[in-house]
Amino acid sequence: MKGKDELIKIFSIRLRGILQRMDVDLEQLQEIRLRVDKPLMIAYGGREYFVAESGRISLDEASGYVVDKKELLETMEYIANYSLYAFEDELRQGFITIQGGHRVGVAGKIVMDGDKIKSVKYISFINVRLSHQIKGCAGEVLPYVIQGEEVCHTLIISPPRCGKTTLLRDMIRQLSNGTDYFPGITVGVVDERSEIGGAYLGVPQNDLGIRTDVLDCCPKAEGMMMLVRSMSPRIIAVDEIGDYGDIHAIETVLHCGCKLLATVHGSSIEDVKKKPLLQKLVLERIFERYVILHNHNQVGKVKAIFDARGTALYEGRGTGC
Amino acid sequence: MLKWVGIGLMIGACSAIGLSMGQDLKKRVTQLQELRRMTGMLQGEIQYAKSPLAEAFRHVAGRIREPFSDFLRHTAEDMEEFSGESFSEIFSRNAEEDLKGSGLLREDMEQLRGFGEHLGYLDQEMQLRTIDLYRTQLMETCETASEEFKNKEKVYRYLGVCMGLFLAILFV
Repeated sequence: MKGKDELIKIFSIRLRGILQRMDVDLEQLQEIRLRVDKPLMIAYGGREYFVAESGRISLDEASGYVVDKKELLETMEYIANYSLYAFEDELRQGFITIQGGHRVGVAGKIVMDGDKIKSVKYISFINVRLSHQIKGCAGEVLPYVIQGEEVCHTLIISPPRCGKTTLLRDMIRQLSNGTDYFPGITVGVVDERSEIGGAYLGVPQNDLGIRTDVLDCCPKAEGMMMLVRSMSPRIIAVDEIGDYGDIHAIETVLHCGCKLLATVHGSSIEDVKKKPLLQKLVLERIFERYVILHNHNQVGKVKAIFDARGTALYEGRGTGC
Repeated sequence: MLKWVGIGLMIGACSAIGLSMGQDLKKRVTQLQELRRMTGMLQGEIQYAKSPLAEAFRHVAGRIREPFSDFLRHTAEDMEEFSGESFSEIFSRNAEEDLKGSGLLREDMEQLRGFGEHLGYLDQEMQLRTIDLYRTQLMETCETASEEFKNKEKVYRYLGVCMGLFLAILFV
């Protein structure tokens, strides 16, 4: 992750001071939560803490600094760079991706247009989810994903906040750059929420490798087709697949000779099978590898790797991401 | 001899004042037109590229004349500082600093500051309507200023010369 200053800049002046004084390891910091008239909280190393005005973190709710409406609005102005209108589409989905690839989730009063969400107003809750770039964290997974000179269609299955995007990002980087035993190949990334590359003004802020092309803020289904037509990738990588359009586009991509790296929410292959749209892909053994993450002691710990038939290729020890 | 030189200089100076007052009227019209061109470009950036304000300001700054280019560039720079000022404060401060002596009148500056107060917060549709409204106001102001220029430019010029002659006669 790039500097504390870059991240802290998005908060109101007062909150900046508090967060600046907070003595934490940024790599372990997962979330910063702001709620109107509620204490400032962080998710740190898998636990939740309250942050006092002095910057000290503790489990004592009473010590937490209470965030007021003005501070939240000021923070929102900085997050949107004084241009909320430019993030209308993102706000409809409930989050904005900021410089550095961090995701800012928002909640408040929803404005409807017929039966569709038009926007969010009176934003009263902000959750800053930090993007972590850990180079080398896919090192233990890659030998199971690479078969000879080919990469297997791979699905990373993980509960939220367990490091699936971090793992995917490093897999992309290593496959694109090449490793000791695998030459680099062209990777196309469809980064619908700017989380993988964390692109700012179209340039990825995270290292995705030298042979990687990124379609930023592009819907996955359309993006995958665009990449196949225009950038001839050997691998296509996408985050959080799930809707009908994604599945349809995946089927097309598979028939074009591209390999697929994707992630999905869940905690086992059984969970994925329960999702009607993904069930078909699992039953047809489209994915050749399933990388399951869990969140025991360490974020991004690999629980197991399975092949298309469900045979465990790797279990237990784990790679921390 | 010296007396006639003095009289000549006095007539010349008065004529120059009249001419300069006429030129100020012309300058205001030109600046209002440039301001309208600037808002048209901003509208395009917001409508088609969905650029945030700082980015839109930077793009437009490269395509317009000074002092508006400086004004947009400085505003964009200050916006990226996140110094605790609201957008309208940044906009207003930079307008005051960069457009001083630009030929715009106080009422034009008030109008511009009012425009700045409504930028940034709203959804895209409202944003574009705000710009549209300001452009309509600018067009009307520009028409009035053009009319004023046509009517008063000659009057100022003649008045300048006449005042010089009048003073010359008075002193002779």
